[in-house]
Amino acid sequence: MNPKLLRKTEIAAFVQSLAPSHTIVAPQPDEGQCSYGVLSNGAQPALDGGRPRKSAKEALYPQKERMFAFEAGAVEPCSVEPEPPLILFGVRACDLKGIEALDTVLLHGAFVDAFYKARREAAAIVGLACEKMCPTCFCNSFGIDPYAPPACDVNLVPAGDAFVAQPLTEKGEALVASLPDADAAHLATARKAGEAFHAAENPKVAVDAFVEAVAEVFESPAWEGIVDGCINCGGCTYVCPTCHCFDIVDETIGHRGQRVRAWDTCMAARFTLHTSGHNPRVTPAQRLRQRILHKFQYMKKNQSILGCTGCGRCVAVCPVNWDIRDAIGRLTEELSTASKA
Amino acid sequence: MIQRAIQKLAREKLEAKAIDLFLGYARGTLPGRVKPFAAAGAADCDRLVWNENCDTNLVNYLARYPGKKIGIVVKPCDARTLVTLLHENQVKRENLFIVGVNCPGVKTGVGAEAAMQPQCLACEIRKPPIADVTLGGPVETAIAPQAKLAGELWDEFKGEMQRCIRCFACRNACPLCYCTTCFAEQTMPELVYPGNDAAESAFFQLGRIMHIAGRCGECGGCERACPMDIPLQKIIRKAAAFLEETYGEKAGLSVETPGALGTFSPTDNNSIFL
Ligand code: SF4
Ligand code: SF4
Ligand code: SF4
Ligand code: SF4
Ligand code: SF4
Repeated sequence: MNPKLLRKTEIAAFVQSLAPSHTIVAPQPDEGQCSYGVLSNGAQPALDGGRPRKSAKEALYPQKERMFAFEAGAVEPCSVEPEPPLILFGVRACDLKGIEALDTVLLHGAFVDAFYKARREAAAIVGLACEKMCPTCFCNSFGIDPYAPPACDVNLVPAGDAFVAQPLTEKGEALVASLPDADAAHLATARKAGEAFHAAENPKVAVDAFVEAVAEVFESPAWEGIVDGCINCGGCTYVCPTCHCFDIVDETIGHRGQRVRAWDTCMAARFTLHTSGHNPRVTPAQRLRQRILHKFQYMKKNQSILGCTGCGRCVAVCPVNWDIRDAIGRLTEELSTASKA
Repeated sequence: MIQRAIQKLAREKLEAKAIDLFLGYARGTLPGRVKPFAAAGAADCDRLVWNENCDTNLVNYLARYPGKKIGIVVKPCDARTLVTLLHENQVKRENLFIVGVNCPGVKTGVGAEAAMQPQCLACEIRKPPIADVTLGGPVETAIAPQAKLAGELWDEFKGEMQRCIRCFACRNACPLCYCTTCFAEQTMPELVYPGNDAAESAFFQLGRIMHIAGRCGECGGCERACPMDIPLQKIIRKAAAFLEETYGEKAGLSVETPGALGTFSPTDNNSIFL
């Protein structure tokens, strides 16, 4: 498929041309950073604003979703409300990998999530290669390469005054059909951008060794050792591209109500609170164990994918500098020594 | 200097078994970040650091070590929250060895990019109101906090609540939010449903602010913890200013006096109650 050229001056117009039939979700300025959000008419996506604050998962899997409504005696059947299809525009590679991880759970698992499926299948995804890593990024540790990204329809690669738009699927080819072919000079600039990115990568975290070290672990004194100052605030799980746990509640007013699915977090007390009042998971160590094992042991076993893409957001938002990269290193060491002893 | 003094004090007290652990800061994993650190023995004390990035309010960790004798580093705002906890019998004074530090303000970032944190820009209390040892020279306060409080915040607050993801990080970062079950997380009845609708986020946040009004030490912990960078300090300071105007009390300044919430008089201003 021929690489196309999208000039920076023409991005707004191009995105606008896609908009009549689609809802566009793209990074936009947000309190000194940028965030993915629905692009309003004629707005310019913030493609140079660095890694968006939260992951892109929200577009496909919103924080709160109505499943059905009810009134005393009658249930309005669960219907997937028709929405204009989405174009996710300018999605970072770590988020693309995150969508792949969500797919394994919500699309390809034993239960198919109808809401996610409807959005996901109708959506077109345009990736965006990063010019450089943020200090907290470690996607390279997971073999993710923004210049050869996972699951997207088109990938945008920076090339000076333009982006080279590389279609990767038929859907993507159709999306960028109206753009001119990329010329040799821009292709060369794009190649250089890739080389520059790879030359300045952050040091890798030894993920494979860690996955091996935690493969069979549950009870271990090592968990206590990595708690540090974690206050179980949950910020990390809400910004994560792969965290997908949810809660289901009935919101009622008088005789009417709706059943709602909303993100939940394993950092919270209520996450595991039993009806009896008993809570099997009370300490920060137990909760961190869940967060780590879900990502590096359970998902590996059940979905054959890891629940971390190295986006580094949890590191960036943590108020007490709890750093998953550091935890991975220390746990690998502790657990491998323990198994040898 | 201060760092060396902290290390020395911690080491001495740990060696003498006067305390079981010492709560301070250690080097973080990112430039301009430190980590909360509990030194359990004299050998750990070399890891204790003190610099302008030492922002986390360590008082938040005291509840984690019931019955232990604890040494702790506090800035003036942290110390104010500690005073509130002492008022409320959440900690025992005799179990604490308090190292106070006179505070010129804490910063986010390093070098040329370092920026004074918002609560410090408007902070009037530069000397810890409670301490066994106070480190650092006196600090001049040169601010105009009232200027920052002018105007109605309601519209701005409503706007910010659209961005809230209701992670409750603001609550968890606060030493004064120690309820075993937060009203926002109780299930019978469910006062705040999970999700991110602005109305419920506002309900939660107003509830939180009601619960810390008259107690808050203005340490900035809540705002720092917010992954959405919601300027919580603004509204909290407004509540604090109201308290001060109405009841003539600033929270956490003295263990001896009981604080606005600890006293009652029939002549109290009741204008905020229905
Ligand atoms: S790791 Fe950090 S962000 Fe996550 S729950 Fe703990 S304190 Fe909060
Ligand atoms: S665990 Fe942290 S680094 Fe990994 S994908 Fe989630 S937010 Fe990103
Ligand atoms: S983790 Fe990788 S893909 Fe994600 S923002 Fe950083 S460099 Fe880009
Ligand atoms: S920390 Fe911020 S986003 Fe989280 S609940 Fe508090 S105000 Fe909302
Ligand atoms: S409400 Fe915020 S500023 Fe006040 S004591 Fe709690 S964390 Fe500190």
